[in-house]
Amino acid sequence: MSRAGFLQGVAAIGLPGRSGVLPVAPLGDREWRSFLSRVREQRLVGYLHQAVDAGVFPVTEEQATAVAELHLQSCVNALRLDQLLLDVVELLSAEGIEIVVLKGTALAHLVYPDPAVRVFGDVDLLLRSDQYDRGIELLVKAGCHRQTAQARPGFERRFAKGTTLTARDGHELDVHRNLVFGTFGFVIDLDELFRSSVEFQLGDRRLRALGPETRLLHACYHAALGDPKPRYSSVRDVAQMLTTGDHDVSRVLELTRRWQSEAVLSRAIELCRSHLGVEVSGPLVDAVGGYEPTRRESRAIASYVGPNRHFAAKVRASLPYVDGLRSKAAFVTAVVVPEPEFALSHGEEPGLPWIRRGFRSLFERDKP
Amino acid sequence: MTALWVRDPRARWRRSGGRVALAAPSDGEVMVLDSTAAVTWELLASPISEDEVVDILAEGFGEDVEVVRGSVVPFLLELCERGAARRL
Repeated sequence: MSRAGFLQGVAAIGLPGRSGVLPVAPLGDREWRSFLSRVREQRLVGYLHQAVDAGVFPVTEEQATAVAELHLQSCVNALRLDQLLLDVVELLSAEGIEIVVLKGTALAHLVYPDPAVRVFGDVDLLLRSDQYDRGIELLVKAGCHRQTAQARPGFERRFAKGTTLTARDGHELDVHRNLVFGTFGFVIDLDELFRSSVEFQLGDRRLRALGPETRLLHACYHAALGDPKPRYSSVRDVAQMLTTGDHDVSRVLELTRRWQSEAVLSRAIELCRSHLGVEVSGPLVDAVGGYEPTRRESRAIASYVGPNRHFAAKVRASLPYVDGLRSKAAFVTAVVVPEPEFALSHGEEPGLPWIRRGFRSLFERDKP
Repeated sequence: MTALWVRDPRARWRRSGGRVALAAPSDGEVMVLDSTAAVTWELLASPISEDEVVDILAEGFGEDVEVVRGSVVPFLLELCERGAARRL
């Protein structure tokens, strides 16, 4: 059995309907080292720790110690990230900025019975579009720095998913204003994400996270559109919520229709089967599982995870969803003629070469 | 009866096997608790007296009560000082 097979088995541990396998004897040294490195990269340490603890993943004493140390380290890191989150929430809330916590911390506390199982490596926040620039400004003033420059002033607030900052302690802070960039992002009702948010407890603080339905949809966007071969942990989040989530199925279906994301949900469900090896079931799976995407939807999905995926492809596929000619022009201009700092922060030469390449990639047809 | 102790609601922690990673509310620093310290932390989930903690640990670890008290009391005080536990 390949390491990928064991990774799949570990990622699906504890879920009903899983077909992934686990080894019957401890892996050899070389294979183990490589496996453990993939486990770390795929953020599966919590599940592996659980499997070793339950005795279903056989390991040598040395391997058991390595897993225990790795898991402890990820717990320490999670607590540090939670501290960063609390500091950021305190800073922004004091200025009246509303925050919804996304992904890592929120999922660990709201979706998994033991938060220590869900390992994460950064902090993700959602801000309202009209508070986004102010939020970023405050964070930068507090010592965070942007990893990349903004294409044009106001571009992120109007069109982007968000940006990544590096906090003073070196941790990553993803500040979102949308759940996804491009086509599928433009049709999301962003106010709904705040309206339906729910509280959760972190230490003695009450924070807000996405509600069960929007949380599930966010996990689907992330798994289905984030990468052609998503992290196992991202697909596990979807499977975990489909299996144990407290979402209202009719509400998920209503949002899915309004946000034109049936194809996304369907792809996420398919990934649970094909990537994670978990046969998910239930009314939501029955309703959306076999959805046939339209040509437009297929093109949109391909712009995220197809062989010709690139930023320009996403921009091109998004254009019909940008409201009004002026906005379309602003969107294209920012992408094709960005501020020089934007190109430089992406390791590219600004000016004419960028503009030429931008136009070419924006208007050329993808090769099949 | 000795004083009752309990976790401070501000404390955040994660369990990893027999160990506990605990973020101290006073400074956010993360402490790693193992062995008797980890068990003590579990016992502090609801109010418990110093004597009860000592008795349970002494029995569980087969140690002398006074020896256990000698390590438990300073640990409880440290937790209190770092904002992770409080004396009721």
